[in-house]
Amino acid sequence: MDIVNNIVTVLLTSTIVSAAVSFVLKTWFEARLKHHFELELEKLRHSYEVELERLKTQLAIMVETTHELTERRLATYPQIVELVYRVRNIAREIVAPTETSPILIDEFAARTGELENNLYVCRMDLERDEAFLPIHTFKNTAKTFNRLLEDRDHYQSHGEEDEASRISTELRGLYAEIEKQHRPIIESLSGIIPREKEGYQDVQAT
Amino acid sequence: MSQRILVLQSVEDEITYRREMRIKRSPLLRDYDFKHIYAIELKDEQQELPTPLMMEQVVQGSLDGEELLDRLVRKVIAFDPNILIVHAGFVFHRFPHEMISALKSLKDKFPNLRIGIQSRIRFGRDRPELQTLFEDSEEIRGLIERIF
Repeated sequence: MDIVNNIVTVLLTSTIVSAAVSFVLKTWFEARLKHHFELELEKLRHSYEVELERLKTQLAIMVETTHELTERRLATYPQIVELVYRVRNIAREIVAPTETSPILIDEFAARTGELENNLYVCRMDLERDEAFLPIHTFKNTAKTFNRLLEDRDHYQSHGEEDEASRISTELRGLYAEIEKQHRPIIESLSGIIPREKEGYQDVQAT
Repeated sequence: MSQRILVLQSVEDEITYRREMRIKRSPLLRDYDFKHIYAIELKDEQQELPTPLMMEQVVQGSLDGEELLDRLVRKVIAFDPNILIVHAGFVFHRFPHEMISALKSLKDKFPNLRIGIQSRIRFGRDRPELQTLFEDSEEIRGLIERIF
């Protein structure tokens, strides 16, 4: 009987001990796992916060850059459009079959010079917008027109009418080029500003 | 005796051809004798391309400074110019180091050759060697104004 009692006692004791050990281990592992996942979660939360901050900063820079670019374009592109338009109009008046006023010739030279300055000031933006080359070509045609005006003036003041007349013919040919080149410039530059403004609003909305 | 002017332009294309014709016929430049040289010699197939495509190919390529110097030296020996006018066009804009290096070596070989540059860039105090390389006199400025 004692043997049975002893066996039962041993069995009960070992069962209780193993249950207690299991419980303690389970609790310990659970606590460890919970701690581990909490740490991982914290790390993830932190990395997401860092990423979010980075994206916010990036977006703010993007908005600011787009805003600055739009402001710059608004300040300079209309000026370029106006100058291209004026240069073309003055050239048209110069080649008209009436006597050309020297004031008009001075005005042409001044406007062409102003266009050249604007072209170099805005070169980076114009290159980015793929608008530099047509304006550069237009500026070159206008400069050639201007140099020919100087040559014609020289011939006229020296009484070389045949040569002056030859240059007048060349000037009419150049005016035809100015006329052809000016419209695409005006259309492309006028189109860039509204498109960019829409883009800018899109970025702000996000 | 008329002054001999060598003009270094970007490439030989329609724009430079027209410029050369105008220079040749201008009564305001008849006291000068002009010759032209190009920073990059276009290949036959490039000469057929529309200007924007040709320019794109040129700027995506390279400029051999040694080869340019060699051509410049040969031209200077043959033509013996008083002044070299450099057009700071798209090739200069793309390869400034190669071009300046070739021009410096040219100046070393021909110290009496006056060099002017058609550029809106004014070389500041940080580049004193360029202020020495490029002459900025009234005569050179006047010439540049009439050529370009």
